[in-house]
Parts: sequence; C-alpha cells; structure tokens
Amino acid sequence: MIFPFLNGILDFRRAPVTWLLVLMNLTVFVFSSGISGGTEKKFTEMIYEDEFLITQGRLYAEFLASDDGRNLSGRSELVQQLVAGAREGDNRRAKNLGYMATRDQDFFVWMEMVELKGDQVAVEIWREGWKELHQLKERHPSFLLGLGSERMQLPQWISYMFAHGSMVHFLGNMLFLLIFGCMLEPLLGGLVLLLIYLAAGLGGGLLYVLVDGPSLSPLVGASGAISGLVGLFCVLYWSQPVRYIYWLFLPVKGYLGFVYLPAWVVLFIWLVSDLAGIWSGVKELGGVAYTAHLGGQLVGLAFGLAILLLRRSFQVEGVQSKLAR
Amino acid sequence: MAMPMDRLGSVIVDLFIVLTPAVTLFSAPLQRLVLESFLLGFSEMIWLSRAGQWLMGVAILVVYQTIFWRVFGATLGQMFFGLRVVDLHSGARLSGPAALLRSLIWNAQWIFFLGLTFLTVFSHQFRRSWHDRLADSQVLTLRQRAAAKPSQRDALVIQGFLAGLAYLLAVIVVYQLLAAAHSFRHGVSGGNSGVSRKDCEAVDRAVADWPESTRRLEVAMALFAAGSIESECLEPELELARFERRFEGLDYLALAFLHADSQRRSDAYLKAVCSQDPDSFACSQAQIIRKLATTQPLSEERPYSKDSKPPSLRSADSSAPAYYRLWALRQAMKEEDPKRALELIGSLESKASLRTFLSVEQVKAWWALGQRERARGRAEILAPVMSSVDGLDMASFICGEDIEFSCQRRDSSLCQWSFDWVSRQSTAAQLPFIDRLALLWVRDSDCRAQLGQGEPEWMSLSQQESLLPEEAKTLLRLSRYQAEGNELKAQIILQELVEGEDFGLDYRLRAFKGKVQGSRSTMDMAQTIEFWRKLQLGHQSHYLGQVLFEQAIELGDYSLASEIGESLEQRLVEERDFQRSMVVVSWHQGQKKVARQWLDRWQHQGSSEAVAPSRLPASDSPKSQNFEKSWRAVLRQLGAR
Repeated sequence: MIFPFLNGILDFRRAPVTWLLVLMNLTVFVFSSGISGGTEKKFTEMIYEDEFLITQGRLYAEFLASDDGRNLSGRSELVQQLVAGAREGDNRRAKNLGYMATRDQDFFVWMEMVELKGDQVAVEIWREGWKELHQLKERHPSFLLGLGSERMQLPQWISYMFAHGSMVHFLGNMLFLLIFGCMLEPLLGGLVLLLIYLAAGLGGGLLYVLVDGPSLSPLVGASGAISGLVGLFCVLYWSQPVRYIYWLFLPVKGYLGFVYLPAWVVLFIWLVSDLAGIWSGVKELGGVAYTAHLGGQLVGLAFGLAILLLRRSFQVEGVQSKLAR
Repeated sequence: MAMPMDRLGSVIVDLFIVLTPAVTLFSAPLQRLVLESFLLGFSEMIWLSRAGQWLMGVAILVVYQTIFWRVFGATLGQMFFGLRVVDLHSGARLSGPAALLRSLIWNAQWIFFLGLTFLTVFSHQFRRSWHDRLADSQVLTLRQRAAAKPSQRDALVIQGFLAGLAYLLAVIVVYQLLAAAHSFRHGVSGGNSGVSRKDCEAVDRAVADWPESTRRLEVAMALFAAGSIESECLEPELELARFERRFEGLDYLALAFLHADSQRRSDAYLKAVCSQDPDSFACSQAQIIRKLATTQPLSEERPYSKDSKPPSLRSADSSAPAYYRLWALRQAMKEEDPKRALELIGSLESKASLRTFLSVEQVKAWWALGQRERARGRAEILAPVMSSVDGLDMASFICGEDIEFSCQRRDSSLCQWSFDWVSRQSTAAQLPFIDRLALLWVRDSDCRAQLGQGEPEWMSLSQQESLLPEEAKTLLRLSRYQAEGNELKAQIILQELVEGEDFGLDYRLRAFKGKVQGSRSTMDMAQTIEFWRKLQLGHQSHYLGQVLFEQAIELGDYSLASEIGESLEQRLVEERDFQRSMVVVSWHQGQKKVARQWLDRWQHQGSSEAVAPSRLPASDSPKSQNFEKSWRAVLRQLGAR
C-alpha cells in the first residue's frame, strides 16, 4: 500500500478555491441523490429488462442494416458481427446490441420516423417503454447536467463537471481534487487554478465528443478537469520529490516508511492507465470515459508548459524557488 | 543472506507497483478481445484471450527480470529492499543466459506449482530455491539485518510438506489423465448449444408430412398443440429480427404462446391476432383462449366486421389447419365429446409426426364411447413402445378405468397388465409413477369393498379414527409410502395434510404431530413451524406449540425451543413438564439465573414440601433418555443436590 503523505497540505486557508470546488461538487451530488433516488431504480429496472433490450437490439440492428448498409459501414467489426448475429436470430447478440443502442441518438431519431412491419406488438411495447424512459430522463439530474447528444449547449459543457454517477465516482474524484488542488493552489493562486480547472474540463469534454462521439447517455464527472490538474502538477513539479508513505501488508517496523518519488511518476501512471483503458474498452459500450481524462490531461500539460515558458521568459521568481519556500 | 520477507516484499513491489502499468498497457488489446468475445458469445475465444493476457504478463516479467538482473544485479523492487542477485561462485552479476534461465524458472514455479516451491527458501541451508540452484545464483542483502541458516526442524518440516504436495500433485495429475481418457473414449457431448436446438429438430422431420405450401410455422404449431415440442421451438420459425415481412394472425398467436409467462405481452399478442386476420382460425382460437383466461364476455371485443365472424370450433373440418384441428380435439376431449374427437383424429391420421399423441387420444376416446376391448387392445400394444411418460399416461388411464368398470360389473379383477407395467416403472424410482400406483391401490381397495370382498382398508381406518373417507384414503396412501420406505413422498403427503384446508382439524393436528416427531432436524421442521405460527386457534395452537417445543429440545436446538417456550409460558407456567424443560433450555441459553428460578418453581410446584431436584416426584412422567441426561447434567452444573 502506498499513498501520498498529506501532512498539513489540506489546510483550508492555503487552498480556498479547491475547497470551494469540492463544496460545489458536494452540493450538486447531495441534491441530485435526493432527486434521483426513485427514478434511478425504476430506470435501471426498465432499461435492463430482457425482452425490452432484445427488442431494442433487433430494432437497432435493423437501423444499422438499413439504407443499404450505409449506417453500418462506418462501424467497428464488433458491431457488424453483432448486427449479423442479431438478424439471424441470436438473442444474446441482440441483447448486447440493445445495450449499445442506448447511446445512439441517430437510432432514436430514425425510430420516430420509420414505419416497420414484423412484430408490431413488440415494437409498440418498446415505443411505450422508450417514451416512459425519456420522461424519466427529463427528471434525472445526470441527464439534465451531463453532456449528451441531446443537450450540448454551453451550460452543459460546464455543469457536467459537477455531476457524478455514483458515490464511488464522487469520492474518488474529490480525493484527487483535494490532493492536487491543495498542492497547486498556493503556487498558482486560486483564480488561475479555477481557470485551468474549467479549461481542462472543457478540453476533456471536447476530446470525448470528437473521438467517442456524443452519446445519448451523458458524460458526467470531474475526472477531465482533475486530470488537467494532475497534468499541470506533474509538469510544474516535474522532478521534485513527492513524499509517499508505504507499508507492506501491515504497518510493521522494517516494512513501513516514507519514500520520495519524482512527480513525473504520477503522470506516467495516469497516462498509461488512461491509454490502457481506451485500448481495452469497447467504445460503443461506454463506461469510464478515458478520452475525457486524456483530453483534460493534455490541456493541463499545455498550461503547465505555458506557465514554465512564461516564467522563464519574464525572469520572474521561478517555480523552483517558490517551491523551495 | 537475504531475509525471505525482504525477498517477498521485493516481489510485491515489482509486481504491483512497477509492472502493473506496463502489463495493463500491453495486455489492453487482449482485454478488449475478451470483452468482444463475451459480447459475441464466442466462449472459446474468451479463454484463449485470457490465456494470452497471462502469457503477455509473464513475457513482460521475464524481459524485465532478465534485463535488470543482467544490468543492475537487482530488479527495482529488490533495489528498494537492498537486495542483490549474484553469481554463487564469483559474486558478480549474473550473465545474460543465467539471468534468463533464472527468470524462466522463477515464473515456471508460479505457473506450475502456484509458487509453493518457493518455500524451499525456508528449508535450504543457503536459502536458495530452485531458480537459484539451477541458475547458480544467490540473493544477498546490503542491509544490516540478514538471515541466518534455517534450523534443522524448519528444514525438515518444509521438505516433508513439499514432498507430500508432490505426491498429491502426482495423484491428481494421474486421475485427471484417466478421467480425460475415459470421457474421450465414451464421447462426452461437448457443445454448449441450447436445449431447444435438438428438441426442435422434430419440426424439420415433420415438414415432410405436410403439403409443400404449408408454412413451417403451421407445422410447428401443430406439433406444439400435440405436445411434441416446447414453445421455444416456435421462435426460429418467426424470424423475429426481421421487420420486412407483414406478420399474420398466426405469427401473433405463436408469439402469444411464446410469451405465455407475461400476462401483458401475451394478451397484447392475442388481441393483435384478430386485428390482423379477423376471419381466420387463428383469431377464433385467440378469442377462445382469452375468454378462458379472463371472465370477459366475448362480445366486448369485436375487432371483426358485423357481417363475418371467425369460424367456431365446430367448423374444424379438413379445411382447417392441422394445429387448429388438434386444438379442437383437445377441447372435444375436455368437453367429453369422444365422437367428435374421433372424427378429428381420423382427419389427422396421415401425419406420422402426430401419431403418438393421436393414438393416446384415440384410446381414451374409444374407452369413453364404451369400446373397451378395442381400447385396451390398442393400449397394450402401444404402451411399451412409447416414451415412459406417454406410456404411463396411457396405462394408468386404462387401469383406472378398468377398475371402475370391473367394479360396476361386479368383477374385481385388476387390470393386471397395466398394473404390472406401472409397478415396474415405479421400481425405477420415478416419483410420479409411485403416486399413480398409490392411487390405483386406493381405487382397487375401494372397488373390492364395493364388491363385498372385505372392507377396504380405508373404511376400517375411517371408522376407528372417525375420519372422513377422503382423509382415510390419503392416510392409506401415506402408509403405502411409508411401507415402501419412500420418505420423501411420505413427508410431502404429511405436509399436504398439515396445510390442506379440506381435511378435518383433528386429522391435521395429528399429521402435524407426526411430521414434527419424524423430523430429524429443525430444518425439516421449518415448514411446520410456519404452519404453527399461522395457526391462531387458542388451545390447539398451544398443543402444537408444545409438540414443537419438545421436539426442538430433542434435536438440541435450544434457541428455537426458547423462542417457542416464551410464547407458551403464560399458559403452561404451572405445568411441571414444561418447567423441567425450561430449566434445561434456559441453562443451555446461558441464563443461569433464569434456570435456577425455573428449578425452584418446579421444586415447590403443587406440593407443600419441596422436591429434591435429583428426584422425580411421582406425578411427573419421565421423558426421553436424551432429555433425562441433559436434566441430570444441568442439575449438576447448578450445584443442586
């Protein structure tokens, strides 16, 4: 077990903006848990009912295969095979395709216009279900605040950073925000930090929308913005030692202690895990938005480099000496 | 020499901190492959990809270890703990090939022996494990704290343990080889295809019986109506993933059967049948099904025009599709119209795939018409060549009918052939058969009684115990099961009796008692406990409670006994039996004071003199041996003289 040794850095007076951000996230989280309680459960029940998913998958396969396969040609090999299987009656593939359908805006637009034959009853039941889901969504905080293909105006680009999907998501992000924010704010000042935070969030969202495509299931979370802080931190502190506390199984003498590692190690690990996440995932299924992390990180790195260059060119008190204090 | 703990620590640092990023990164594509294979349902690929991931991890580890041992003499983890790997003889860093060898052996120990052979570090005098020995290396520490040689005892223990493991491993490997050879020879059916694939082949075979123009779905529906296939087999015929074809009424009817478990969906489908094809046979069937399912009058829904109506059941002549005629046949038999049934059977006889079903119905129809000899003759030929369930159906039907008939004819000969057949099947320990056997016995003794050939067993039972005939007959079945040693069935009958509302209360209480006392564990008693809790009958409830209470003590479940005792306390507090039990129960619950109180109460109960605890007063009846033993033990513990 290894962990950064946080002695004394979490002081509120040293990093007011960071704590403010945490507070804002907390407020949003508490409010949305209150609102979403019942709807969350119903939503999950409905959306994971077998028959509903299978029908949805079949319809999605129909959509993808329509227009002489125009909709299908741009898709990945996986999706093409799923479609082929679903159309031949493989229910398992149809169901998995159904999961993927929930993210595709074009599909639902198509469903509103198209006239289908075949099992009309199933289609009707699906349509009713879908309408109900849509109404539930209108009331669910993640959908209101998050960045999804139906809602992509400026407010959503900022509000998405403050909404979180689950308690674990929220706590994890807040932990990292505190660690990195509290180390950076005394160095840069609250305003600069805030600006970089928001910029990184925007960058993360942008990369996500460009690469993974905006999906009907919205993007939520502060991970992009926080990745930006991580990137920034690692550039500014590049070879500075950061103190960690470690222990092996149990905190016993000889196997418990402090170790100093240079800051770039964190960047390396973050980068590697994001890349591994992107490469090991199936884009169409969603899950953790590693591209958003990456986007945020790039923004943070860019800002870090910019600051270093600025300091050097203006011969202002260097980062190093400020750190030495 | 290096401390083993340090070496372990270095491994942990290496694996979990240093290498994890690299491994996750390089195995990411394989991870994706696992996910994709899962989505596509390629189960073999999943295993292969996972294996690939493992191999990738091992490969990375080997490269890492080899390079670091060669160049630095230690991996990063080992550097952190101040260890160095050196050549045994020269004390220098390992050469390239040696490092590679060491790494390969190191990994092999994990893969093949789960790392257990690393324990030799604790037994070998220089703390060298296999990878050290084969690569001529040694691990040293740069720190102050070093390890000494292991003691003789440690060494022997570890060596013995490993030797034992080696034998165990050898045994397991040999066993697996034999098992694999065995299954290979006897051709185990691999394959994870769904059950339905195989069973639905009947549809393929049956298609030959029908004219070319018939839809496959129609054939499947006919087989479904005859009970030859399950509803799942209708699905492939419907092509549900295609939306180009206009669905007919028949399609929706099939879908209604397919979704029979969802009220909402099946109803929606049945409605759709008539909106699609209002004049069809399918619509007629759908409407009747809906009428049977609900109590709504048919006239409420009139999706068809006023001038035309869907055909009624009556019109199921040779122009009607086969599935419709089969369904009409079933209805005819239900409504006890054997003539009609035979007509319909006649019109379907040409279909080889329906023969079994039709034959059984034919036998039943003949019997119903009074053509008994004909029916019995046919049944005798058919029963042995049918599947067991169909054959049993037929045989027990005939036998039961035979008994009735011969009774009315004052001729009590049991239908020997079918009775033998049923008994033979039941000795193959198939439960539903045993049930039939018992029922046949009951009908037989009934019959004999009617013919004055002695009283039926149930009658005397009924008189002795003042039971109703139904109750007595059930009890007779119960005694048959118990005589045959069929515990399971006996318990089921007892449970039916306990819960069955049709039987007299006294009878149920007796059954309850029997069930409780026959229980070997409180799990067996669980259902009866439920029954007791639901029963709110005043003194009856107490009677039952007492039975449960005693049995719980007998079985040693004192917490259950305590719980029941609490609810009985008010009523039974002055009963000596109960008081004695409560002494034992509260003692076992750790409530010494309470136990003492109960003991005092018992000692002074109902007499002017106190009774010595070790002596049972004459008014008390001794209980079971188990209980008396506990009683004496508790008395000793309480320090009572």
